[in-house]
Amino acid sequence: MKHSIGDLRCMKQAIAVFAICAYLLPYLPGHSQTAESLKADMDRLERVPGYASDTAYLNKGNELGFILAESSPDSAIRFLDIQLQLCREANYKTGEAEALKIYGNALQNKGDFIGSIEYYTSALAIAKGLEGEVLVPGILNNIGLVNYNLGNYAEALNTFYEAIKGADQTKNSNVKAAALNNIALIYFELDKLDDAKEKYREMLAIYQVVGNQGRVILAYNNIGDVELKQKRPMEALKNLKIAYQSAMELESPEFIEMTSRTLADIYSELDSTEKAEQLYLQSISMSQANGYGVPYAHSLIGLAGLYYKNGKAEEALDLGKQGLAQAETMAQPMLMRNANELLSRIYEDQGNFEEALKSFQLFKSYNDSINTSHSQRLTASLEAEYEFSKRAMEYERASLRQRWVIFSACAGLVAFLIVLFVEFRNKKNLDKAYHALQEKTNEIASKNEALEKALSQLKAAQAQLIQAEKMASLGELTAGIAHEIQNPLNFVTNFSELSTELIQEIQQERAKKPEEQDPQLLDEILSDIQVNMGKIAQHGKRADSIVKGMLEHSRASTGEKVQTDVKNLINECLRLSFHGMRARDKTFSADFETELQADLPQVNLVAQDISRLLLNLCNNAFYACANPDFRRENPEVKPKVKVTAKIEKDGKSKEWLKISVTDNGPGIPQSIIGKIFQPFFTTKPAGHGTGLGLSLSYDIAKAHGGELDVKSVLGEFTTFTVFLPV
Amino acid sequence: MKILVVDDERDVEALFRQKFRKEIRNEGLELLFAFSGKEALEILEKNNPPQVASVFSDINMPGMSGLEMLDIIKDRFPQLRVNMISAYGDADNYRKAMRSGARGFYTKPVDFESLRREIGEILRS
Ligand SMILES: [Mg+2]
Repeated sequence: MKHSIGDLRCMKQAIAVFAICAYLLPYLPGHSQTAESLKADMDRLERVPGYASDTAYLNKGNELGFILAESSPDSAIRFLDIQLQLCREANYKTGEAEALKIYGNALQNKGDFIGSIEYYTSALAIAKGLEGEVLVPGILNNIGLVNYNLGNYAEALNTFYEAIKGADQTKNSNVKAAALNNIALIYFELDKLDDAKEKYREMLAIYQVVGNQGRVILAYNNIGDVELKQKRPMEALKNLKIAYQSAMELESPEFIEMTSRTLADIYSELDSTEKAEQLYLQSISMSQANGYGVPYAHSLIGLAGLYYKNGKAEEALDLGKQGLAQAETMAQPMLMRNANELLSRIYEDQGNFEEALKSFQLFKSYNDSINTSHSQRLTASLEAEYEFSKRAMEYERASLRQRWVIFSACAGLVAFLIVLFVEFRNKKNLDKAYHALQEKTNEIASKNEALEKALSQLKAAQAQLIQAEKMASLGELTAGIAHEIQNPLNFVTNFSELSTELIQEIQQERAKKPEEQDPQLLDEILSDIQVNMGKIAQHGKRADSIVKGMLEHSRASTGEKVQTDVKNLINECLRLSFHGMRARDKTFSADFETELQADLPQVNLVAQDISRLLLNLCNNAFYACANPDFRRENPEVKPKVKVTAKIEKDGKSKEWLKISVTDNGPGIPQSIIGKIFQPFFTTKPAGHGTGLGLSLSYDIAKAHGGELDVKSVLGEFTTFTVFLPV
Repeated sequence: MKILVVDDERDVEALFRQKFRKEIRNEGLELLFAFSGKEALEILEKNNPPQVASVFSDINMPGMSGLEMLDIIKDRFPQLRVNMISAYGDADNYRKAMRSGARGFYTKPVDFESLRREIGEILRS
């Protein structure tokens, strides 16, 4: 089973530093005092008069508050309200900052992220006023975690880097390691795997020096997990063997479970079925016994996937269902996605198409929401990264300057002594150091410039690509438009010539003697002329609306929604697309039909954008069913495109306009169906498509608050469905 | 004498009926219309040999194109005269039509005088 974004919530752990001075949450419960023993200590201290202003008593209170915040956030909040008041009355600033931070932890555990930020910010303000600012980096790390939980990755990264800066200054390696882990976690989710690995390695080095065995295991486990995602299972195996071995030595069920789960994933990837099975079973029984909810779901689904791979469909189905239920309980979208994907395959193999479809639809919807949030995060991180590189360099520059001050002070002192002996050598040394600094500054400046240039180039390229796609699709259309205009113009010409001829006939008839004239013929001709004038007007309007439509398409979208006749829009797009294909490819032939709900209402939408979307879908559909290879192999299939439109209500009785475009072409293989909405993905030969059509169509649907969906069966059909809110 | 006109544009019927008013009235010309290749084949297949002297067909139509229809007609009724009418007077379409046994090839907008000559010839034969 492949590791994916959501798995990490169980695979990797965000590390918070809940510190009283340098106190770090240890993994072995024995290391810290229990709530009971803390209460006993406090009861004892309360017997001494004036206990409420004793810092030892207040520190114990914070320790108890911390444990409560983890186990029972509600009672922690009641307790901390009093604790805060005591610290303030005693004017014990360190204790107050600590209590505010723990308050933030309790709120975070309750899911009140906004509230927790408020408390952390107050804690930070006090901590910054304290000598040495020792509490600052830990608080920053916790603020970063809130942002991470809120999905504000850019903000989170900034804060974690600030925390590292502070940890360097206060020499707090525990906070530094925790922040490194959290940064790596974000990089992992953003698919920046090399960066993630580098941060984990830095974290590993720190924990090895500090001698925190649990965290060393975590680091090895996470590095292995990154390597597995990088498709380097052999390297991953090496790291996980170290991690598993240490976890066994430490006899910690949490770490044994975690490492056996990752090992199982690796063995599954390596097709070592027996080992993978045994390790998954171990993880399952340990998670179940200890109540590790997310790992339990992960391993159930992992084992189900393993069984499915090895042809044990019944067992796979059973485990997959259990895994899905567990993933739902724990609200893990990625695991729910993976479980539904697996279940839909199993159902399909068993011929249970109804269930297969249900699971597939669920898979698709989780997949969509994961992909959407993933791409939003990527965009944010691109901008954030640019910000950091600037900040990181400023920091580097500042610390260099600081070092330079210290160095030159020392050098000055030494120089004063040495100058008496070797004046010359001293000068040379100083020069060298100065030049080194100068070089470093220049290097930073040029790096900065290069980055800024790269960013602006990237932005320009993106704008160009969008314009190129628009022009390419307009080019594809011109042939269709030419044909569409040619026909009405021919009619205008024909009917007006005809009318001229008819008038001549009237004149000829009138030239005859009255008794030879045929009044019936005259009436007939006159009524024909009237019909012809109507036809001329009608075809003139037809050409007019085509030209207007074309202008509409080439103009930049105003983004303004107007009441639009959907039936007209669909018919126009379908005909334009059809004639465009026919005009560009003489051998092209296909049929099309529409099935439009009779009383389709007017819908409020950006007509240019939706027509672009529909044209893309129609063009793709015609392109697919005219595929020459497919037609050669299936001569009995008549290529056909069908467009349907209707209004549908969803579960919340909200109304949606549903437009489907179906072709009976070769279909889309499962292996690429997940990629077709990605920018630059195209199956057309080079030069035949920009690969942006579907991706822009997807964006248009989303911008309307709608959805774009695809279903396909190989060798049978492909249907794209767009849902737009009414 | 029946002539079948095939075109997906319905107004072609009004156009032809007026253009050939005299021939219809005085020379016994009867015009039949079909709006797709499929419909045309149905009309032709009612009788064998078909009661139609000649077919004039558009090329660019949804579904079966005029050229596909030409191949089918030539296969089933090799004797039937078929003339093609296309909006694109390109060499490709022309060669294809001629190779498949079309009698004539007209481009749109149609020059009705040459069409009238052709129909006159059919009427006299
Ligand atoms: Mg046509």
